[in-house]
Amino acid sequence: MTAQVADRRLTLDPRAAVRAVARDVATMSRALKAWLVFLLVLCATGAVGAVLALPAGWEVLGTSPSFEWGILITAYVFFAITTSGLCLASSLGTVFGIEMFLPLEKRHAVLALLSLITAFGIIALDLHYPISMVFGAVFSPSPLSPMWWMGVFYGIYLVFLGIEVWSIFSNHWGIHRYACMLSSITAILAPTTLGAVFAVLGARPYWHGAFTPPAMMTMAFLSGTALLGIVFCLVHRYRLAGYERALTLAIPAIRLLMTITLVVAGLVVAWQILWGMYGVIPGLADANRAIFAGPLALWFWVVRVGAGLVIPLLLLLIPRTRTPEGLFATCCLVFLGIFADRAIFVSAGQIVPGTAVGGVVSDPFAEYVPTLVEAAVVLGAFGFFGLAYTLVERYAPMGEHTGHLAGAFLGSTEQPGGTREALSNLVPAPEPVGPPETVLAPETVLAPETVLAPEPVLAPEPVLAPEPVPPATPSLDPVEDAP
Amino acid sequence: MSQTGRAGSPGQVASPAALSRRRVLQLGAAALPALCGARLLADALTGSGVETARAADTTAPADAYDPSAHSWAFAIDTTTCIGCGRCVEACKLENHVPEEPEMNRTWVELHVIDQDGTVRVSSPDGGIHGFPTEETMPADDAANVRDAYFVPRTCMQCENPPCTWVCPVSATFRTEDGIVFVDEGRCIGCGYCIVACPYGARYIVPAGETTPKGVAGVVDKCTFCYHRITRGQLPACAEVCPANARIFGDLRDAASPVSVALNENRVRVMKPALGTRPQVWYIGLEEEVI
Amino acid sequence: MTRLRAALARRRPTSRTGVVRAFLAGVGLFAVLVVGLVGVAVVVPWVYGEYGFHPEENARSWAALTPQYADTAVCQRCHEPQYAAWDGERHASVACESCHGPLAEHAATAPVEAPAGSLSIGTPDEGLCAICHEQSPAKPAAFAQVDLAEHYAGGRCLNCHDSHSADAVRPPEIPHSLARLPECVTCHAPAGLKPVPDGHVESSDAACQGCHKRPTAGQ
Repeated sequence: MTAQVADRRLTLDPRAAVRAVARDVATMSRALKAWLVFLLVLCATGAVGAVLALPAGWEVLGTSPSFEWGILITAYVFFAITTSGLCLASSLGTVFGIEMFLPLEKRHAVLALLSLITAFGIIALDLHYPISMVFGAVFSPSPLSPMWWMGVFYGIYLVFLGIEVWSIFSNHWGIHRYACMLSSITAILAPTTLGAVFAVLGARPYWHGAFTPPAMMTMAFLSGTALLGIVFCLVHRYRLAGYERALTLAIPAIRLLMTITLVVAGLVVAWQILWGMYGVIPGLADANRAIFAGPLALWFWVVRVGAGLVIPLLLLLIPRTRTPEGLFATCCLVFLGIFADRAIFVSAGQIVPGTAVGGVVSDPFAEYVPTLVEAAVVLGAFGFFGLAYTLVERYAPMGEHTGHLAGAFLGSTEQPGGTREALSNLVPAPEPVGPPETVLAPETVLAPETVLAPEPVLAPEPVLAPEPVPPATPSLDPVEDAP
Repeated sequence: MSQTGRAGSPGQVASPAALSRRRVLQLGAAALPALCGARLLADALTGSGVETARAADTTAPADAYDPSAHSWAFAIDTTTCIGCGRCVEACKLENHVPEEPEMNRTWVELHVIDQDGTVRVSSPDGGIHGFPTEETMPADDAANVRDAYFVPRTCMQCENPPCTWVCPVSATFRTEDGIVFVDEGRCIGCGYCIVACPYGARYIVPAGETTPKGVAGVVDKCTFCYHRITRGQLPACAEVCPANARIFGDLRDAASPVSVALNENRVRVMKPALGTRPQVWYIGLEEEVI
Repeated sequence: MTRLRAALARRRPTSRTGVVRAFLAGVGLFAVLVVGLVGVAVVVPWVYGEYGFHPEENARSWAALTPQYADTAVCQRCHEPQYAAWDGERHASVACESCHGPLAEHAATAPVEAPAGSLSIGTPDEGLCAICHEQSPAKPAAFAQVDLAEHYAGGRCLNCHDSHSADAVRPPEIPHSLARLPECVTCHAPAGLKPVPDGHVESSDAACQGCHKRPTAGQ
């Protein structure tokens, strides 16, 4: 049995497939095998947890009416904001044309798509009737509900991300640019709406207020950047496809983004807490006291502030640790810190009881302990994410396409591979498309002289390695993987 | 990438790109029946959902009932409540409320205010077994207590409910006669309305239990015993209250007990600053407590 | 914008057949949209059962549930003596089912020929009296409440108190020990000893002293 995929014929013989897999596994290094086994164990844990969590009404969650949103919601928020942050970080290159953020772009898109799929998987296991949600959101929509809009935006975002990933791997660069632009717009709307889900609740003083959506956006950007940093450092370390530009462009770019965003995030966290301590809204000061000196204090001071903000900033600023390994450690800590941050956020809003819920008086704080099933589902989510990405990294062509290196939606349009050429490729031209040096027909609007300078937008010298950015020359060879 | 209409001409092989696009459209067209099938399968697997709800329908109530002619409300007199908890038990038995002590559609709280103004609230099992004096108001505390009274609590059936507009699938709504319901056929169990309610009136039906209509895993709440009030009866909690602390009635009727009680007493609602406009008024509530 | 216009210009139909084809495509798209919307309207009631877009139907389904608690007037139909004892007395604010539990089903299905009170349904628990009448600072001062540790500790409430009329007959004080009295006199002596109420348990002298107090000096 064979199948036609792109321009290849694949044999679908099970035995041959198993043999091929066995051969491939034999070529793997010990470290990679160990990593895959670890991920498979996590996935198996998650699968068990998922099977237990699926039937509606089963008492497998540790939530109660006093504390209805637990670690599954935290994990969902975490993955949802990570995917938005990934798209925002990559939009600096693909939409705004900042060359230093263009490299390794396939990884941005793949990570974002996998993270969003993981988020949807987690929320499907938390809801009691996930299929009803799809029907209900379409057939009985609720435009006043921030959660409905969140579902809409993340659904649209999934579609745009899918188009973006497909267009990257099938080299439709014009479609890719538009998909990136649309994804980036949705990647701003979606996490702010996710913040609004929490922010509109007057019953929860810790969440309530206009500050929560921008704070969610900041954490989204930080999380996405951290994940990119982790992946890029691994690309550089293991000499994966495209590693040449990892050291010279991608890693310094992430270091710059991480520094700026850590400072902003630190200010956000600090002022949120300080304002809360001054607040006179009933329950707000209690919630902040729970974070500062209550049940959440250990998570906040040690994990979120210490490991998630202070140590990463030190690692980034101290010259001795301004290495790819240092950046890797920084990003891992920040990634962990964001998870703790969202867990604290979701908990703090519910931990102070505004009222006796169903006859349960929680004094002074409401209680919630994640069950084993919830922990299994969260671990399985991380396992699935890691496993899917590892497989994509290993088996998909992750090399860079020179066409998109010089092109971006709002940026260098005149260069070969830019928007103009992409558009002319979309439409059947009456005359044959010549070699890239051919000047386009006179009815085009822009004057041929307005060629944008090939230098990158930011002054890269202090940040980049000594070799200059290669200018986008018209004599680029057609890429190897074009149809 | 030739996108001309020449794909049908003999000898012209459709380009791989066009083939995959067609595949995508086919998949999209197959998705809708697949989702419907998945929904039916999920319903069958979980054994709940609309089919059960339909099966639970019994005979219709008095057909003469016109929702637009009524506006139901409660006036709760905390100066007469004795904290016996008969209302809590009656509600559980009337409305198939889960047996778990932390799940109550209505409950009674004991508010104890000390001389220095500290307020202590307690509600052992929602008050269903009363408030044994030894546990809740020990004698050695008595000198310190300035005031103590019982506060029956229930869903406020707010006129501006913060729980209805947050539902992503429009599963919860308020009727013309002032009751907020949860449509169990639509509820997905996300819990947004539970965290949105400032009065803690909602809960998700836990494992092993169902709503009165036989659905599991959805949100449930007090409905002012809608099946009783539409037949001219009182809600179960008001029916069994021995102290006349739960005064129920129709605000549109000036002679109803609740209208009379609201006219004759100084009343207040809970958490008025949130703008929810609750339809449960309290007589004698001294402090703004939880 | 001009780039878009240029791209669209290339797409514009250049011949009459092209124009006709474009027009038919537009009509076709519109038809698909209409069919789709009509299909949604048909499919949705099937997916959501009978509720569809009408929350009023859901409200009516809540109204169609069966009450578990009847009204006091329903109890009166069969239990007239108890109702007469209760009506207008101090327990008149307490509904029958407040103590006896939900009995709507019993009222609907109880056999008419059986004498009322012959079946043991809904008999309240002994501890029920204490829940309301145990003294507590949180209860209104005007409410009838006693400190149970002081009030005839060890005795049953119903030995002296009638549950429906709430009348209480204080047991008389017995000045002497009941030991060495003939057994019949213990129960059947005239004036001085109250008639034995229903359910009065057999007990020894010491137990009786809980209610029938031996007078102390000055009492």
